Amino acid sequence: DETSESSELVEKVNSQLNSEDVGRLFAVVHLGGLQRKVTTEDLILVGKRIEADVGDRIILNKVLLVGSKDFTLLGRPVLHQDVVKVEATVVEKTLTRPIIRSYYRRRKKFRRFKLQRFPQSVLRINSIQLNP
Amino acid sequence: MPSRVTPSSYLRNVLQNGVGRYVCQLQRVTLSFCKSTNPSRGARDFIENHLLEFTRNNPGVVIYLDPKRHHSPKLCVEYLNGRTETMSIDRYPAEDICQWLDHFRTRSGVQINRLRKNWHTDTPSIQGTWTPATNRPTSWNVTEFPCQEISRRLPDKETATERILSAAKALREGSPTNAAIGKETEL
Repeated sequence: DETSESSELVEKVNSQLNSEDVGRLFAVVHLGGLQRKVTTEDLILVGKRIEADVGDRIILNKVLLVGSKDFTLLGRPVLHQDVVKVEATVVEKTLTRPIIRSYYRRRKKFRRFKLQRFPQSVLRINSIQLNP
Repeated sequence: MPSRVTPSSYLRNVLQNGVGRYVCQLQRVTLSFCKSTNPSRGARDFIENHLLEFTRNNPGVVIYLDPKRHHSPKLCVEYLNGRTETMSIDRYPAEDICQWLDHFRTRSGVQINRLRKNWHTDTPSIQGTWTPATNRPTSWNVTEFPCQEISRRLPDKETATERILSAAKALREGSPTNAAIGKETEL
């Protein structure tokens, strides 16, 4: 009866996948060494300079998980590109605020003061599509 | 200044930029420079060699050239949200000015602050926030706890203690089939 239960569940999920309307989706994407949970119209900050120009639309390939209200699809470890497609727009490419690097050695007349700024990029998630 | 006392903000962008199409937020650039003095040499070089390429690539950005006698060169940029940023380009080579102008072009115009979060969302949860009661039987709503029936250990594999006890019992009863232990040793 356990197998019949699970097959029933799989049937339910498949019927939802094949239907047009699955509601709002969310996804967990691997981006810049981090796993980020996103849904459409989200803003995410990446602590790296992205090669694409601002306004360019990019595809986030490493999708680890997709979920809707009623079901969740887990990748092992990533979902196939035929299953899900996450698109994002590069909205901003900036630098961080000046970060202070200050250090000294006591009684040694040794003092250093540096200001560092690191590249940053902001992405806007445009769409998460199942069976693109 | 330690990060605790620096002004902070949350990740944001201008309106819903990027949801439909992307709009470049840089509107005006005023480049003030001197025609004769040395600190403006890079600025003059930039105007001669790189400025036209920039304007060709970005038709939406207005560039004003403002010669000021014996002043150090400055770059003043204005964004769609009304903010203005000024930067000194004193003794900067032309390549650096190109790079900084590109930096201003790719900015959204919001103030650069310490960010408290690197994620902004309007819908924080889709499947609902998890609570200890999610995916639990609803009959538990009317059960009085502690409940002996629910709190009992679920029947799992036979534990080692149980196996030894059962073997000992079998021995004691006179049937020397230490099957339980024998199985284990075989494995």
